[in-house]
Amino acid sequence: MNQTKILGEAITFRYLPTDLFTTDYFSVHFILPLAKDTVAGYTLLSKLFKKGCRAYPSQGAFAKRLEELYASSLGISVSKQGEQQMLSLSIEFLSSRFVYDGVDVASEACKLLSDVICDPYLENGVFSASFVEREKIALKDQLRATINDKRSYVLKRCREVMCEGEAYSLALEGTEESIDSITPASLWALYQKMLSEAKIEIFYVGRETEQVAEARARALAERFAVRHPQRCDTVLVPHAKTVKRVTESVDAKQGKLAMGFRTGIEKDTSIKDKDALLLFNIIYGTSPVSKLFMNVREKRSLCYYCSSRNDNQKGILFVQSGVENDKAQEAEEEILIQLQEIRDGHIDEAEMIAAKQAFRDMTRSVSDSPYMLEQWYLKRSMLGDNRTPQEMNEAIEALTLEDVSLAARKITLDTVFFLRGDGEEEAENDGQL
Amino acid sequence: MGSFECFENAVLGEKYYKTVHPSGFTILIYPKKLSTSYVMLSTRYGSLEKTFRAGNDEFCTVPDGVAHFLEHKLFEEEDGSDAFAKFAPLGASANAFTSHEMTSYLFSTTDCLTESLAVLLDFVTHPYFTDENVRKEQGIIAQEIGMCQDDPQNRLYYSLLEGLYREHNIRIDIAGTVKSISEITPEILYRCYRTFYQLSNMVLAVCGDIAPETVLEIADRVLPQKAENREIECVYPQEDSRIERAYTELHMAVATPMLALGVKDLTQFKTPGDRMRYGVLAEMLGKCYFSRSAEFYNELYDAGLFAKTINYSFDMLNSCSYLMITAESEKPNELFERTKNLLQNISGNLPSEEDFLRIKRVMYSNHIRSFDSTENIAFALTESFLQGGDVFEIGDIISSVTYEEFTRFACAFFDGKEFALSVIYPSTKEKS
Repeated sequence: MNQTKILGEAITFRYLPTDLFTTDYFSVHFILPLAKDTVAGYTLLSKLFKKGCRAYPSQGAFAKRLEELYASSLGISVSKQGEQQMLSLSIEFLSSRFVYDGVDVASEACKLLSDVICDPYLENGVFSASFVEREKIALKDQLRATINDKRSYVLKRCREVMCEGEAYSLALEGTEESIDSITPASLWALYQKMLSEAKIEIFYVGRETEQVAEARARALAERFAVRHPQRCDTVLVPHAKTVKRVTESVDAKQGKLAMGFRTGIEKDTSIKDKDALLLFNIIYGTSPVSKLFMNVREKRSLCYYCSSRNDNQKGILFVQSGVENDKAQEAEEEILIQLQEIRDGHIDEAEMIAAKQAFRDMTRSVSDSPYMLEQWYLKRSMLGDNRTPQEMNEAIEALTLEDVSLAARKITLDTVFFLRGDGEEEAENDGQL
Repeated sequence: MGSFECFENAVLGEKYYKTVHPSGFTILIYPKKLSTSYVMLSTRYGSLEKTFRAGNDEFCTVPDGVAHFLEHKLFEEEDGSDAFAKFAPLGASANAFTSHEMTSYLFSTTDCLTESLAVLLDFVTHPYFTDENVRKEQGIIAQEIGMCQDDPQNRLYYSLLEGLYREHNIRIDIAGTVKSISEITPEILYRCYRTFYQLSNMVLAVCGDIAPETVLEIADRVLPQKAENREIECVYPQEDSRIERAYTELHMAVATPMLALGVKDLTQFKTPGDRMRYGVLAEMLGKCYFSRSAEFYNELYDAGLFAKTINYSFDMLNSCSYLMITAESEKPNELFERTKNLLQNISGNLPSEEDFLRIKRVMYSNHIRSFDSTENIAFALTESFLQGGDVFEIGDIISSVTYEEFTRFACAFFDGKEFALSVIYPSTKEKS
């Protein structure tokens, strides 16, 4: 059970049986190198997939088809995983035992997902020009709107400064120029490239037997006729050299600080050291009693929010904080002091317990939806780590204060990005009323 | 051990239990083998209850926003601590909300369910109001009211209700106004608490990996063993089918104009089953015209009459219901006219039987799928109990609705009902 099967060249299948839910879930993930020339195109493809397929080319017809299949829900998304770009398509549908009028919902839903991928709506042998144009405009709007969400904008800019020249700095929307250069024909060529070159992971979660689930996955895998899978590795930079500093201004009342760190991850870093970084991140900046929240915000009132996020695939950690302009310097210092505290082993019992509890809660809730189950194993597979939630939880439970402080000692500050607020726009506040 | 009434559903292969604790408190337990448990404690008390008495008390009328204020205040403990903080070390996250007809306290957790449940029962049954802590809360809630005033969705919603209703308390903002909450005193809060937080007026819904007996044991430990049963009497203003005004226009900082169309419905029902059936039919009606698959929706979309999407809802309260359609649109009046025209001439625009059967599958599937979430289950258990029904009945109702019944319902629904429209236009920046 839970084993991965190879269905073709770089095509894997994983079956996750569960009878906890009323739905079954079938998904496909295309994993591709994150690259300047293709990033916007792949994102655009994901938007086209949402529009339907040859048999159901309009919004109304496609929505009707999903409803006929007992309101099956189609999920399409695009994401970054380290220096890989992932296009994910999934369909969730009512398990056969609940269907009352003999419709073979499961087969039809899996077929529909497969058609969305392999049998798109075409005009003159390529994607419809009007569809492509409409989605290009939407994607450019989305790109321009990134400035509206200041928090993700600051993170994006910090990443760009920190990882200049590394694929990690690329935005999923690409750039205006790269979007402009897309044509129906170039997108069609990119689509062929995706089908041929991507690493493909297929999942089935639900009540169906393994034989039937696997047959559905095979039927899909067989449609990928030409396969020349490409390797996609993430380039690791374990240590920062010098600290880069960039400040920009924005018409807002509140300033925003983002700090990027290299976490010392190398090719041969052990699973245990990576786990220690996960636990470090919770203690440092994500638990309800994290060092950053309790000190930078609560104790010293230097910011509206302060938290960290860790990416073990790339070996990078970001700290984000919303601060008054004149407190940015102090907040930065306090953020570094708290890092030093952990390096020095100053973690109290309550902080350790709360962090392990937060991790335990997260692993326990994995089995609460087909989607979360699938995401767990997908994520593990991308990290080359096949542990179950229970196994990983046990590993985290076993970590000691020394493990965490050792992880902290390998972290180096790379970039400080500050977005200075020069306007009157309302400040954003994370605190409870 | 008390006795449990058991409700079973053969399709799902699941069941839930109901019992009344000696304190008068109703307990519903839905065992579910998911990691996240969800618990909801509710009282039949919301913003609509303004004039009331319990037992032999004199009738009293309280300021707007008291139920919501009380909900906030209940989290404060006698030692000055915050009940929220007691959930955190147990790995539970707590919350609360007040609506027109109920106030609920809830938490979810993947661990320590029994301990968190004891905390919940304990803090809700121990009010602590003082002049000082009431004053402090007035400041906090005034800020919250201010924030809501700036929220276009919220303004749109209340302006529609004010247009639809003339007297009904549903016109009143659940949070009250800065002025009304300034009139709240500890005495008023205690009076409301003693009236509406009698355990016989409350219900607990627990959904998680727990045995019914365990829940009862905790209730026995925390709650009194005797019921205080003072009858609650409420007085509500009379409302008839006429609306207050057909059109309301506001100007706020929005990018695209927003509109809300409303239809007022005062239908009363003989049984909880009738009521649920009416709700199912009204939801089907919305889906037939306003879901992405609907012809009418796509006509409006192709005509560029809305941005993003159209939202349809049918809200049912005990004393009134309303249908509401909201959208962002550059042409709000045209969208309104076309929609109103369709609905008022619905007998000439009925969906085909095929469309109806498709919508029926959607409704049925959504109903079945809602049992995959402990949160949905706790909400649905509470809601159906407060309406006097059984949550499992809804599936049977959906299955049994026929095309003929649906078309009859649709053709009659808009008879004698008035429409109201509210629009928020972007405020124009004046340049000097």
